Amino acid sequence: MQIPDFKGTHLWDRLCWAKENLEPYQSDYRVVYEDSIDECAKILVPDPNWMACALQGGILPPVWVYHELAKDEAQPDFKKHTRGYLLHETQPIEAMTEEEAIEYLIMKDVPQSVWQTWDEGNRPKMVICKKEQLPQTRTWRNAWRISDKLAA
Amino acid sequence: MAGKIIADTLEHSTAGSVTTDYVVNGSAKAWIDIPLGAASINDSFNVSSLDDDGTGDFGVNVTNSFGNAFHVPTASNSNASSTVLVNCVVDSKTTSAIEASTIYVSSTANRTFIDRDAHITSHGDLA
Repeated sequence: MQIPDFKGTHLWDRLCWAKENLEPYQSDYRVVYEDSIDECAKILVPDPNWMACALQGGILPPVWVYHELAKDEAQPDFKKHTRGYLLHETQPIEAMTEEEAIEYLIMKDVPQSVWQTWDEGNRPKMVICKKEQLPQTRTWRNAWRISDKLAA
Repeated sequence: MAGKIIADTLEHSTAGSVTTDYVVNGSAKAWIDIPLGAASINDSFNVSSLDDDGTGDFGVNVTNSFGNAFHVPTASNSNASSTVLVNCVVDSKTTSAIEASTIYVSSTANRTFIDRDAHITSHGDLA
């Protein structure tokens, strides 16, 4: 589908266009990660409308924009964003493959302390898998951990 | 963008007028419908992903961040076929994420997490 030239268009307006014009895409990928040894594994589920934007291209800002905003918000005197224009005025990124979109989403929504050092411990702190690879029942959901077998 | 209308006021033929500030400021800026189990998303707007953090424990990440952390999420859930009264509550929020949980309280247990469907909407200013 041909999309409008969104350069300089408010991100909100781009998302409105996408909601109206793009078919949601249900990804089978899930990201399993552990950000605390005292908590069970967490699972990141990609949003179908967001995935449609990522696969289409020309809508989403580059992921570094979110990192800049996160830096601002981490300041002790933060009250409100003053660099929101980065979301709207930065050149939108081109179309991604599904796998590239998942990598982008990890860098956007998984804590940096996890994805920057995911393979530096005795076993991985993060795993990308397919939905079917997750346990099929949630009976013991709070005991889910990344398997030690992945350490090899 | 094609089809753009710039207007400060909307006027009805008999019912009066309203400034478009009301529309811009009063519209929900993000919403999501999460089915039972928090492992998928039924529908949404301005959401990039969902965190399934455990039984009845989840988080919503937004695409267009809010301008500050004082946006106002509203959380609800369906209570059909439940023997206890379950509530969906917001636990914390930043400009880019909303953490929430579905819980119940009984005479013998405080704040017990339980998997339920959930619906989150948030109003506020965008970044």
